[in-house]
Amino acid sequence: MSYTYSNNFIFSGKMKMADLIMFDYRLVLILERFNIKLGFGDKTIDEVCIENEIDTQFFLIITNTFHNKEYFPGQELFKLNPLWLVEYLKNSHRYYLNEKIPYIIDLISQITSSSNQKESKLLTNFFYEYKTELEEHMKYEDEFVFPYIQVLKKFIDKEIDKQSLPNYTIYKFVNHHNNIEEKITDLKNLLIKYFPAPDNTFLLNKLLYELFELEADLNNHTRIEDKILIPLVQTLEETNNLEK
Amino acid sequence: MYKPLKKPIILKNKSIIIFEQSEIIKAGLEEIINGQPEKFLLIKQDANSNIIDQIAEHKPNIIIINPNLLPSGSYDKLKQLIDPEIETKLLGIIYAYYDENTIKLFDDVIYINDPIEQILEKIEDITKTKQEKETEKTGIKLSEREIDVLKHLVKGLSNKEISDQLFISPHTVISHRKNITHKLGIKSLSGLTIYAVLNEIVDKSELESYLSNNES
Repeated sequence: MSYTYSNNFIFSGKMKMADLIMFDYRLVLILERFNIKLGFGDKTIDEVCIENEIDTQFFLIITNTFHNKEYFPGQELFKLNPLWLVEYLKNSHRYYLNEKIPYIIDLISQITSSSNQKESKLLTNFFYEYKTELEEHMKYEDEFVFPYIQVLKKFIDKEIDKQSLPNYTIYKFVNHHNNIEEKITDLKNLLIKYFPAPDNTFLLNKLLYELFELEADLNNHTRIEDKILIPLVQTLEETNNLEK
Repeated sequence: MYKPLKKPIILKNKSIIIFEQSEIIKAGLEEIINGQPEKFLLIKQDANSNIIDQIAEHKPNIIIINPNLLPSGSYDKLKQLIDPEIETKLLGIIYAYYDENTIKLFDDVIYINDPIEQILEKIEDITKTKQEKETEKTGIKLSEREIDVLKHLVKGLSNKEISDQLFISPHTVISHRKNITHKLGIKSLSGLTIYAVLNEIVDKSELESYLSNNES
């Protein structure tokens, strides 16, 4: 199948997994978060998911959401197990914090070491600020939101009683959800428009590119939280008479 | 461990000294200059000391001077007044006839009939570097007012404090902020600070100390 990029195509389980990646190469990142390794031959998405013990519907919802901004899963959303989402989002956090951010920091230090200007220090400082914000945002999710969802699931499965639930609802997460994209947008604009170009423009261009990619990834991450995770958990709270 | 950007950065303002024998005119100029404390610092002239000594002592950025008071004699005496490190600028106050050669000695001249806006503009423009004037021509985005607001923001002032400083409503401050963000594409305070430094709206030397304080 030849590569064409279209935002209106909805993926289905009967497709070959290989064709999926050929269709939208960025989905390689998603595979990583599902711990699906390459080398699956001509198997369909259904087959690969079963082999990796992943719910196919869930996999398709995530990939379609990633590929198409207008996509909304509809009623299948409410059949999802929230723990799958928690695991997926945790893997995403690991990717940002352990891979992407360190890589960008390394790029920046390469840029700053080859040019001694004050602008380089500004750049480094600014990105470190952003990194801290991002880490705090994820830390909040890791420490409050995800454990809550895990306990909530136990309650729904009647493994624990109501008293064991923490004093938390997903509504608190909605309010806490701050705007982490602001600084990246600022940084992109600064690099494109106002930063004096260093001698090694290749590195600066690469940095800019990485920032665009990180931003898109994070936007997608937020969309999954806003459009899938939060409605799902809210519904679970309501149907279990837990809304406050 | 890196600490977030919170230390206020002190802005450079230009120091000005006025040499003018008419009390009325001098008072008028002082009033105009003191109305812009963020931009200009007025150095009090000492009646008992001569001009050359005062300039050597205070090293002002701008000398506003009536041609009558110029050290008599040649252009060389005048050149002595100019400090190459500070790039002192000479601004003449003209309300009598002077020949073209005298007028040419100055970087710019203020006429007694100039409106206040124009006088301020002349004083501001006189110290602008060639690069700043270049970028102005290519249409740099921010208006004077927006630059004022930006300076104060970067200094760490709140919207309310800025509105007090500039004698405008908080609503106007917010409106300026929105325009700044819209024009530059930069929203966060840290980002705006970087822009301000890169465009020399804020002083480099102050930034050095800020940067070294945050090195950890």
